[in-house]
Amino acid sequence: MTVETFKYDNRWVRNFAFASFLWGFVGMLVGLIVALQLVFPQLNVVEWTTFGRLRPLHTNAVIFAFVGNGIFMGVYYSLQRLLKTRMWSDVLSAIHFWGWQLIIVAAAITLPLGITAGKEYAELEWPIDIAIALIWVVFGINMFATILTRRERHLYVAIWFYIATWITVAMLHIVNSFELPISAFKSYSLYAGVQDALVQWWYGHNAVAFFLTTPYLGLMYYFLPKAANRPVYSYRLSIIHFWALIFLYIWAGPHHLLYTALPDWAQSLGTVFSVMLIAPSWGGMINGLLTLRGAWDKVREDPVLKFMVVAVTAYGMATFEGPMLSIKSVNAISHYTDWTIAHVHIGALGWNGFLTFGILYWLLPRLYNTKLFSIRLANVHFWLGTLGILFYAIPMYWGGINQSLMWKQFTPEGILKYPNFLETVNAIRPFYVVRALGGLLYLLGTTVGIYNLFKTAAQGKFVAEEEASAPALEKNYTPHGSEGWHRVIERRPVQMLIFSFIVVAIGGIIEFVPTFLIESNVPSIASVKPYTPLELHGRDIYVREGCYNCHSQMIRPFRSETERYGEYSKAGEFVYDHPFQFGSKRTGPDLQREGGKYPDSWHYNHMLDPTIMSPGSIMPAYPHIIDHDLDTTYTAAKIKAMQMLGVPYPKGYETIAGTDLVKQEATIQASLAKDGIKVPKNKEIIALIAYLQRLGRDIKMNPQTAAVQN
Amino acid sequence: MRPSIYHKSIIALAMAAVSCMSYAQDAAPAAAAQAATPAGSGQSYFAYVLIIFATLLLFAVAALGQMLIRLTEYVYRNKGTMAKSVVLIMMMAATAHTALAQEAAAAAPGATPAAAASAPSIFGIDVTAAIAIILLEALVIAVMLIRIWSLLNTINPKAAKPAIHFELPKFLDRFNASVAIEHEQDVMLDHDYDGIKELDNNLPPWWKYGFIFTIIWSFGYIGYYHIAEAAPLSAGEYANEMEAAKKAKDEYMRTAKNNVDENTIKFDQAYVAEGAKIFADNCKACHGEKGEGGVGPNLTDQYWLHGGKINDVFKTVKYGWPANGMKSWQTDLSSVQIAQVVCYVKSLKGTNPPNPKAPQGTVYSEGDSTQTAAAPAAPVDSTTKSN
Repeated sequence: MTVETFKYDNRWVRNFAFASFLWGFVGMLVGLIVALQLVFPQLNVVEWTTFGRLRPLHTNAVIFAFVGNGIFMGVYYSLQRLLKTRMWSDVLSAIHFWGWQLIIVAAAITLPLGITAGKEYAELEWPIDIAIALIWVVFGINMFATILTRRERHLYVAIWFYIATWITVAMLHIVNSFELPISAFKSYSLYAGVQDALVQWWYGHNAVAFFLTTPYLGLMYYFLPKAANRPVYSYRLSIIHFWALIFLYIWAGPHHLLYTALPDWAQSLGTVFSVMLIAPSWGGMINGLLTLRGAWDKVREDPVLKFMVVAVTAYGMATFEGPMLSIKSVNAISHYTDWTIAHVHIGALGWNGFLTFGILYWLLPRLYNTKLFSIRLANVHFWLGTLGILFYAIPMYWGGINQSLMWKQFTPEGILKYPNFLETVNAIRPFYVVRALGGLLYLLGTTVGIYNLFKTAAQGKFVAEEEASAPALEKNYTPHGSEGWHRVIERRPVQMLIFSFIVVAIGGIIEFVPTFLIESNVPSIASVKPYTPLELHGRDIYVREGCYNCHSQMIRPFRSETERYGEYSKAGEFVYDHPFQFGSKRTGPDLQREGGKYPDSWHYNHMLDPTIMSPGSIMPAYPHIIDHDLDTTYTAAKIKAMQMLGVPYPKGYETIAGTDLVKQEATIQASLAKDGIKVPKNKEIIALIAYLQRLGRDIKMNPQTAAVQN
Repeated sequence: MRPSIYHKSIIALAMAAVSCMSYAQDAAPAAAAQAATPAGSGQSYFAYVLIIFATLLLFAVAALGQMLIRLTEYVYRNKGTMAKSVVLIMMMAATAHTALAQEAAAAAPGATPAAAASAPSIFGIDVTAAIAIILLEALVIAVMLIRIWSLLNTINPKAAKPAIHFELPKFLDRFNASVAIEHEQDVMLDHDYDGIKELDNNLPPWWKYGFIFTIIWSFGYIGYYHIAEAAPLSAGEYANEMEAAKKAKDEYMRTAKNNVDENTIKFDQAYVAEGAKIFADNCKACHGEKGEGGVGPNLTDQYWLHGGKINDVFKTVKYGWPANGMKSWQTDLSSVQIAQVVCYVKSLKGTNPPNPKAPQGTVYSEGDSTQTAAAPAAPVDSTTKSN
């Protein structure tokens, strides 16, 4: 047995680490800005910084830039050491790093410009989607080739999680991103309405599962025992919770669509699989926390472990809360409110944020062959962060529940107690103030942390190439004694990959196939017609401005909602919606039955400055929509694209669509002129008004159809 | 020398007392603020905010108390005199007390202007006062932290942190069916990944049975709703909810006084004042502050689009003319409220406000019983209620 010497490549670990906390700072700063915009709407200064465009930037930056780079940092460090080999290709590492940063920069440019696919956490347009897929494959090749050239016979649990992460994220991203481009910056989702929603939340939920959770569990399994210098608590628990977690997680997506037009059976699957997830999720927490047995003395002193303990605890809290929110009666209260926002921030700030910084405080001194610059500052960061989380989450819970209860209250006469939606928004504005304060505290902590990390780097000397040695793997392996079945897979990475894929593919297939193929799941409604060309343009503006970040288009079958908004939403109403715009949060009221509710001039004034028509509104003003010319270059292309997606415009309609557009424009111009508003033709505002006035009218005007069909 | 249980409990009691004091102080401004909120202005969300932070502060104080116990223990062990730890507690209590007194003092003026209702107030919540309290609480924590820090330094400026053994209680091992830490070599596997070893502990029984329980529950859930169909799904739930609401409403309306509809509405001067408020809240955005018109028509002239008779105006408000941009208000306003706002609108005739919108519709003069709206608007919007 020959001992080979080789070098670990720390360069890309270091680069990913810096990218992680620097992008993290940017993402959190944007988060603070959007939080403040909800209190001070004047902060929506120009069109590029309105809430609807910045909020996707915040979520994308935190998920894909902060956590994404954090994942790669941890994987590149731990993988080499767990496999006793260098990363397979330095070139692929470089392409991976720079490619990912370019994607982030592209996102940071396109999202404020309003270039968006309009699906939450999948907003990036098709060229960037392709780039993500390619870079993800580069990462996969580099990781797998490293695994295949390893000097360690068996794969450690962290690597199981990395493998499952890689294959599942690839599947989620590709399936959810199928879209039909009409130009370099605009595409339509291949799926429509309820089906699009199902795919999107299968993706969205599992982005949480396989981007924010499983890779970080892998990191926890490496860095926590390393930092505590303790053996992992239970190998058996690792096996069971790993397989159970990845199998069950994928099914739970529909819990984002409870009480919507999604078929009831799919909703119920979402509920039960979420509840079954409690134990597998907690398996990770237990294995983390109990690994610290005998090391609690260190937890009191070592900031690294402090961060990790809070991270793992936050993980446990969030994964208990999630299933509770998936129970329909709880979800009826929590959905569309800030409760959900609080819930995800326990995960993002607590689990992802604290674990990242715990790892960074452990890792950077090692990369720079030095000690942490200041333990005291790390502790300051810890307390600022912890207080930040509390100041963030508690007011959001209170505010969310309060607002939801206000939405649902009736007077004895049977009318809504707070019919004016704005009243319920203003009631929770003080909570928004406190939440912003929480965000500020957390950001301050992060700033202190970044300073500390920079000082650490400055005082040490970077070890780019780290010498190591290990015996080569022998070709023929005979296990000593009997081997458990799992031990066998652990030395067969390709089987591990295939099994993981099978396990994560099952849930999606069982939920998708019937929803797509069996017509009774989306009953068609005869009176629902495709959008006119002008409305289609208006809808694209609605998507561009990210209106779905604050407005839902999905009325749930509750008395409190049908009294406020009108008839509840039917699956058949959304069949031409590429992409769907259900939304997930009501910072403003639902808009599904907005059509015909107010005159055209109301919408004009409201877009110019929402406070004219709704004094006290916190919605941004959209004067640019009134100024901008409507870009009709792609009218024909849009119609053709829709036809390809199955929207039944008559054959050859694209040639006359432009004429229809002008005709409809003229009627809206005339109705505005009647109220003394002169709008030149070809302005975006007219298209947007056309779309808003169309919303939900197909069955509102024709209630019998809906009744028959349902 | 380790402190005895007896000494420990004295320290703990002292700390508890300090914590209680602080909590009481904290609650006082909250109560004051609540009292300051004008009666009848809705729930006091302000109080909720305060409770949140009172709770947070309690945690902080508890943490600081914990720190103090450790500190005292440390002093006691290293210097060996009970006296010193007692002195320390006294100092600590004094510190806490001063800080809290400051807070209470500052909080009081913070609450008083709120009572004067001059500060920006949203829905009975005084934002300024809320923020002031929050900042004060943060300040108190900061002050206490600084005091403790300086205390630490005066005791032993250069000493390392006290090494106090801390371990999770043993019953957790039984609870989790873990192999005790002293015997962990028995379950140590021969795995070694970059120095990470793995134990082969049992699955915690509560975890295992909990998992099995959720699986059984899930089968039960699907069976109950989708196989036995023992309970309604969303559409059925909705139908039940609407039916119950209708029953309750009918019951209420049967006994309710002041009931009014489009057939029984009569002009009532007593309604005008209340109607003006409703108008300001709901109607002025479209019809102008004084009814002069804007997005919607002028309500002060003698021209009416849908009939000027009080019964017709009532109908217009109640059912709306959605095609013309007037929404139905029957889900927003009670019938009495509609009557009030209708009376207010009727009282506007001839007030000649500035910037009137040009007349729309036909002339209606009072007492002209032949002029009624052509078609009742009712059926148009009632559609939203049918299913």
